[in-house]
Amino acid sequence: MWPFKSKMTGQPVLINCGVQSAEFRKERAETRVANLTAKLARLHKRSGSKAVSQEIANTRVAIQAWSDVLELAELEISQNERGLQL
Amino acid sequence: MTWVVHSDWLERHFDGTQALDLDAVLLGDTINLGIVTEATINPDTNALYTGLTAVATGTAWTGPVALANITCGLNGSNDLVFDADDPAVIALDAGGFSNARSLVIYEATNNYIIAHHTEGATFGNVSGSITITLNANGFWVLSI
Repeated sequence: MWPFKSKMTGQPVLINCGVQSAEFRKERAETRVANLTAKLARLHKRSGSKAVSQEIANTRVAIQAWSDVLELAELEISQNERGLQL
Repeated sequence: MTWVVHSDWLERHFDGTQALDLDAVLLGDTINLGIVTEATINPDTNALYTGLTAVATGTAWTGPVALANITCGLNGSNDLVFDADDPAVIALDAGGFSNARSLVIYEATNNYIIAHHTEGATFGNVSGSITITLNANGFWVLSI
């Protein structure tokens, strides 16, 4: 028997489902930051060309943008929790 | 509703006919998101985006858009994940389209479809904007 069982799974996509919850945005941003950070590490291993240098710069900007989304979502969750406690 | 990965693309990718750089790093492959009217797309026989019927363009939707900040790599659980930023909101446009049914992601040079997603009903931007929200795990996950 083969020692692995691979499976490719398409993920859901939503169209016009309104504003997503802070919890969803937090999860999404965490995933994006993790994926982009891993990409940045792969890029550094390939560094040398102008195209890769540009991609490194672009990826850093993207990580910062998603980090901002993550921070806002966490702040909103925190405020919601405090609101529930009052 | 989930993304359906196309078998032709997988074959080309793994047999080396056209191995895409899904991180969009070395080969500079551009991967686009298109919107089409087909309610049924066969992942085994519909290989080309140009073989489908694109929705009409207008002021807000001017045609397929390139996915931004694409990532394709292992996550913490050793699954291979393909992801990108959510596409920008498509604004309301009275001269837009109302007969969309599917989203398609494809590589822009040869128009090979990578995956598609079909909605349960038509949608458009004539009477309201369109927001496309990707799953937290992106487009697809290859579990090994």
